[in-house]
Amino acid sequence: MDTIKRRPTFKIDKNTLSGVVAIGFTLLMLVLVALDAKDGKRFSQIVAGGLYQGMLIFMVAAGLSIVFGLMDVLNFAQGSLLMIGAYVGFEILSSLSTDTKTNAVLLSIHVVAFTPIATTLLIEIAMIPLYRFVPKLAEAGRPSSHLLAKMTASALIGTPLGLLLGSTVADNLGSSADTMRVIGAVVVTALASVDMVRDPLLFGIKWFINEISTRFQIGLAIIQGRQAPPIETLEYKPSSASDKAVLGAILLSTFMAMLLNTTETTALRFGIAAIAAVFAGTLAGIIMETVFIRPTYVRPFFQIVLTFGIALVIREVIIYRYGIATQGNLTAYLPRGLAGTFPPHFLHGLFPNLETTIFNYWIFMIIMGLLMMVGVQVLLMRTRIGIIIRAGVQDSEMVESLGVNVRLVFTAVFALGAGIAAMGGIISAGFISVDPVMGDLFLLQAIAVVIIGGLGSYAGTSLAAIIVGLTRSSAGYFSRQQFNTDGLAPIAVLVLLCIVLLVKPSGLFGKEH
Amino acid sequence: MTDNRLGRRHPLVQTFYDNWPYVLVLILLWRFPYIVANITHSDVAPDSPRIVSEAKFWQGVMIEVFTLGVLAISYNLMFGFTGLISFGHGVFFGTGVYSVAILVSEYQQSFEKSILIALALGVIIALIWAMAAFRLKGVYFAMFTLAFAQIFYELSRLTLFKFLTGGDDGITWTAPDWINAVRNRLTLYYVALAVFVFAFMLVRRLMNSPSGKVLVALRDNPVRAETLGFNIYLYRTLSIVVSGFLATLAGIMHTVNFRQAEPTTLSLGRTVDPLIGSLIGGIGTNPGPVLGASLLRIGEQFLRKDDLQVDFNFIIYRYTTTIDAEKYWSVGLGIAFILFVLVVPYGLVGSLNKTWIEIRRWLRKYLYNPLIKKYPIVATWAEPFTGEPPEVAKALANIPPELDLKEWALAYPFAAMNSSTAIIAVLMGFVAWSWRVGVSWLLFLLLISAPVRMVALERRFQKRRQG
Repeated sequence: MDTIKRRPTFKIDKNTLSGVVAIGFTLLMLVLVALDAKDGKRFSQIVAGGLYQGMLIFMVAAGLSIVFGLMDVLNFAQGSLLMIGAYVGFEILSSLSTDTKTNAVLLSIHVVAFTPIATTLLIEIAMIPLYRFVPKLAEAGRPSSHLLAKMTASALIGTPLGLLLGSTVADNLGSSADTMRVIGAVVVTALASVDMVRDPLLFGIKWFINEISTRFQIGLAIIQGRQAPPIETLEYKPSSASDKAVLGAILLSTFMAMLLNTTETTALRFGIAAIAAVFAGTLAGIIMETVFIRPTYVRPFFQIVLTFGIALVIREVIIYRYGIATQGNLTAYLPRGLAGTFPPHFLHGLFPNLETTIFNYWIFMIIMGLLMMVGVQVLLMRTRIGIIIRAGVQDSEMVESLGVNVRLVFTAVFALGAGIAAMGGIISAGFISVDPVMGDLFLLQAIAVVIIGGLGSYAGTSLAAIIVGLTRSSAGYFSRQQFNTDGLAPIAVLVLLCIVLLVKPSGLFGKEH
Repeated sequence: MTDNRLGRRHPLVQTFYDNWPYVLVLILLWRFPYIVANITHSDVAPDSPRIVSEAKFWQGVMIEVFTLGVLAISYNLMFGFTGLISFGHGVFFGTGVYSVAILVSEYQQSFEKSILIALALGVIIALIWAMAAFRLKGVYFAMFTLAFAQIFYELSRLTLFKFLTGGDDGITWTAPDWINAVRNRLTLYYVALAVFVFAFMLVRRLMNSPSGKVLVALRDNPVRAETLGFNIYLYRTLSIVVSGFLATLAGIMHTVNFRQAEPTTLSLGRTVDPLIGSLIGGIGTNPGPVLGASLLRIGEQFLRKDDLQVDFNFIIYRYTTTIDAEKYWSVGLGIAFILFVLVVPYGLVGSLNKTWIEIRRWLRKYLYNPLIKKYPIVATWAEPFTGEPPEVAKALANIPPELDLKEWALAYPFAAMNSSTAIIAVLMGFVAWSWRVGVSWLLFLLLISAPVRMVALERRFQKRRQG
């Protein structure tokens, strides 16, 4: 028996192999482009163009991929969510005031609502290593999730809704638009944040009474000359990290708002539009999941048809409201006083350092895409909900039997994907033209990306997005060189999709069925 | 056939029993141009091709209905019966459209030859799909079809192939005179009707055959079908090829009707139309998709015509408003799409079938059974509606089987031709003072007595089986 030795096996994992093939294909393509172009400028332009296209496609594909992995729903309406993002951004931007002062006020209201959540999240992230090494801190308590949710809601609803409400009211009543905008924003934000303010306030009062009474009891004991009672017997609740964080965040946001009122804020309009767009997209995603897709989990055939129908409705409604014509990008639709303020100044023009024709906005899109990519990856790999999602992808019934509300997770994941798509919408709206078919165009590319990457594999989707983007740009380059037409770029992607499907039906990193 | 139910009627009679609604609809469609012409007081086929009379217009609409109907039948065969989701039916449709247009206009081929070539191309594409279906299933196959069709769509729009496809503008060609929609629309109407009936009967026959049952099994449980020993790839191929053939036929009908080829015929819209049609009518039923498709096209004609005047007088005093019907039509269509998936997933026909079964069960329990308990003879009267075999009905009604059927059947070659029939005929002839009137009445009475004579035939047939 001893003579039988195990031979070392040089087995290459199938997924690794396909990854290597994919990256090799991309590199080969780029080398071909470089050989043909013989021009660093041209080459870098093609690469950057491919990357930004890949990132935009990724923003649609991310939601598609996670949602399919978790609940086996191929959402044909994901492109429409992107379109919702773009059009909501357009709506918000065109309802902004032309007066800088008013916008500053509006922004400050928004900051008041939004900073708490940002600060809390920052603190949470900063505390992660601390929690790991100092377990006592973790026991002391972290920001409570419901508070976080409330704050998120108020921050996201606050200004954009108030803005729309205010301008609508002003239009109808004929009063000063700016006044009404501010009033609307204040009212809606206040309404949304009633709960948010109440909790810390109550806490503050309780904390004050506790502190005073404890000290008073101890002091009384000392004065009376008897031994002070041990602290455990007193009604004393040490303040948790969460509540301190919330109090600090509210103070900070007020301060930020005061600061913002005195500065020039054109760049941050984009922020308002983006947040509104993301909120609208998320809301649409939640509605879509709970109302439409939930009843059809048992009928997978009809699910595809249903989402297809939803996409149709959204497109038709947008055509009904805005017309079928191409709108151009959002810069053309700002009120007169705001012309040239979107995209923000620092995103105008060409990238300065390389002396190439790379737009600044491309760089911005690539950075945002990468942030999303990494952010979702961190969310999936490093957080609790990420663990649940990954477990759900493997076996959702088991997760459910372990006591996790999988339905809620489904909705959350759907909303997350929708939010990312809407973010992609508002970002792309700054550069490419906004029209009712843009959703379909992005959807096709995103489906190609998801399938090439392997359904349900997030890393595969990320890689495939970049590959597809680069394929698009280099095929576009070749078709312009050879045939003097732009049309071959989408065809190249579709051909790539067909080939991948026929060679490896489950995609590059997908599980074999 | 050991089952008594199956052999209980003469095959001809049974065919009539099973298909009388279709026969009725077919007669209606056959007379349709003339009925419309009578209603609207317009020419069926105006002398000058430039005149578009009301009747001619509605013939055009019906040709479109037949085209969409054939496409919907083809789509339903793949999606509804076999369970293969296709998002690229436009590729077949567009193949039919483009190959006929290109062959006739660019290569000066004869019309018949180009139709044959187009159908062959459609079948070849279907075979490529079938080869993909060997490897891909479910969502993956749907994605493959989507990508495949989109490639052709993009190719047809390329300026690169403008010499062949005409790019975004498309091609205009002239159909031969005898089938030209401008000069000879009535002929085209009947040709389209014939093609439509052919497609309908083909799929109906296929789905009633053993192969059709295997296709349904593939949809419901492919693993089980495979385990039972059926070559599922062969049957999938069958379904895809027949479906592709019919969709190509629909494309040819389309291009003959409009005499042009444009990229939209290859687009995703050509999947959406039959899909909505099938959904509304009922996926996986024979008449459903046709019904849905015709509702869509005809409804569009009525609703898109002009703005809807909506009167809110019942809510607000003297408040009327105008709704732009064209804008609302598309939105309404999409909403109908969603509602049908969520609320009426089996479509009109499917839901009606299911409801009808429930109603029949209920009626049998609470109406029919108590009734025949009290009045047994009702069982024989209700026999055509209950679907009982005649012998069972007779047994329920306590009627002993007739013994002298043979004599009766032999004595009456014209079963309903009894004395009263003759008297009526003679009387009418006398009143009109014309033997021609008498003969025509006689013939008419013979005609309407046909079912009764068929019953007699059937009895004779049964007697022979027993003997």
